[in-house]
Amino acid sequence: MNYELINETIGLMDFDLIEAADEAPQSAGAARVAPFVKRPWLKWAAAAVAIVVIAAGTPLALKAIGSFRNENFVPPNGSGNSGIVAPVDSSESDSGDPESGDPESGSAPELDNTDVVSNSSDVPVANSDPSQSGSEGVSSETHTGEQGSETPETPNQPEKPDKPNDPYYPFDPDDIYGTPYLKWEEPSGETGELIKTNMPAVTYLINGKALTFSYQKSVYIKKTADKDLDGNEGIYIIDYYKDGRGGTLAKNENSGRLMQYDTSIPYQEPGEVYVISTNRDAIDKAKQVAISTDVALSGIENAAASVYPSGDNYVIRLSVHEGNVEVYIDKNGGLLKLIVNEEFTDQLSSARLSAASEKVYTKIAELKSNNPNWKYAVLRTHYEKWGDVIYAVFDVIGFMDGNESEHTTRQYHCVV
Amino acid sequence: MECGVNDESIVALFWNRDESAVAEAQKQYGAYCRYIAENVLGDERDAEECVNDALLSAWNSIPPKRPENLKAYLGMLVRNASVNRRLRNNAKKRLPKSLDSLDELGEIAAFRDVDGEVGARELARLISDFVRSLGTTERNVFIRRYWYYDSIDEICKRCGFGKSKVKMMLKRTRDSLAEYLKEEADYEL
Repeated sequence: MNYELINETIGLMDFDLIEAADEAPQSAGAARVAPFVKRPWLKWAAAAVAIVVIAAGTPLALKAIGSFRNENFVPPNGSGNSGIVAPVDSSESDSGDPESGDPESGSAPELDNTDVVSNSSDVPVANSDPSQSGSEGVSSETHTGEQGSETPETPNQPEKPDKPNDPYYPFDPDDIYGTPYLKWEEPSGETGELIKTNMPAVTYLINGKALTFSYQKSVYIKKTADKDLDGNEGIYIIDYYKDGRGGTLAKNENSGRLMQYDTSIPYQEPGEVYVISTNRDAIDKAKQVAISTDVALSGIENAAASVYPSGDNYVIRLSVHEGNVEVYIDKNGGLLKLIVNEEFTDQLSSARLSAASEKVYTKIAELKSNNPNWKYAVLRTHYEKWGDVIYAVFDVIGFMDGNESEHTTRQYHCVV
Repeated sequence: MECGVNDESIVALFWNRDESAVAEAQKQYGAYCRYIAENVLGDERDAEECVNDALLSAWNSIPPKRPENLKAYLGMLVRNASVNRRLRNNAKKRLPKSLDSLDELGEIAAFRDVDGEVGARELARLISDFVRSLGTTERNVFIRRYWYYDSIDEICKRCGFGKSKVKMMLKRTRDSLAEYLKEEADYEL
């Protein structure tokens, strides 16, 4: 089927129809879900009713809470904290501190000062169990009142670091086209900030000095970052993941020059991992890996992997078409379990596989594609923990009509 | 209309070979073009490159062309660039999910039989006539799906409909379109 021609035919439709569909896209649904749009006065009426109800109800509610606290409550452990959630000034709770680089301050004590940010469902939630809350166990999410007090006190706020000491810390995942979406502070105290992403260039601000580098693939610098473009040594590498894409920036610490080092980390699932790394040991290892593995082969576009936290552990997931391999590793890089989803099938014979590859890889799994001529096999997964970085390497091989047609090595890493 | 005035000014810049035309076009319609490209490509960087390619195409094609609706014209360019890139990247493999809608249209015989640019233009005119005859909702859903490459989920979000309703609406519209093309233009099933 000539898809190009179908696309072009539709593209030639009358433009007024196209524009009309763009300008009135949500009318039907919006009218159904938001009656306020049709009758804006309803919004004000509802707001007025809500204010009256709250004004009338709040003193009664507070009185009831006070009564309950005094008469019925028995402290669970004698620590003097009730565990009852006290009214909290909304301006102080859960707001995060955009300056601190911790958008969910207090919500993830176990990951405090780490470099990995995940979506909230992946992050351990602060302890809200009354029986566990000690006098110092106050978080910004579950404020404990003091037992026996007549009026609820303003809860203690957790200390919010002004600037993270750790060079790894989450940055603001704002709109990639907005400003800025990348900020970091390096061990030397040097600060960096992405201030603009306008194609075809990206501009960074390093110690107040704007540096711009091209965003075009044609000038990507790959793998050999021992020296920068000018042959200077001494390079920081800054890894970043954003909106499912990863990349590595290398910055010469002498010249301050920033350059793209390797953008071959392919498309991930919607990225929940945001990392900036300037750890030299890890970087040295990263360079070795980058050099020793053929990261940038481009055969299997749909192979994608992600590394993300799961409780205390980490999961590395590889997907090729319908299949998934999940490798669960602990924080030291040890293998916990490996899951191959049911979509994987074993249709290729081992003989054919070994004859085609003649490699010593361990065949992890094979999976089918919708295209009956294509089969994919994951030959090897390899993971290692170096310093603070976990690396996962997948070798994926594609067969067409039984013959090896594509072979790619994909490398992924996250900082733990 | 203010938009029209802006369009006119930008097109005039193109005609005067003023390079600021590209910047102005990007400023005005960059986000719109990116939306289309990302729908097709699912990748920000590839999308950015396709938007740049489309702007370059605009620079090369205006003049001699003088589009009355610059927004839709740029949309068409970025749409073609994105789809062609996506298809090229996926050569020999199955159609990517973002282009499922092409398969849906491919079920209509007229699309399979269309031949060359003249045939495509004639078919596009007939489709436009047909789409114009639809109710507003059906019309917008059809265009969102097949011109903007919106996913079914995205259309559901826009319209507040359930998936099955949207799918059924599209199916009925396609069936009607196939019938219409068969009758009006002597396209045979």
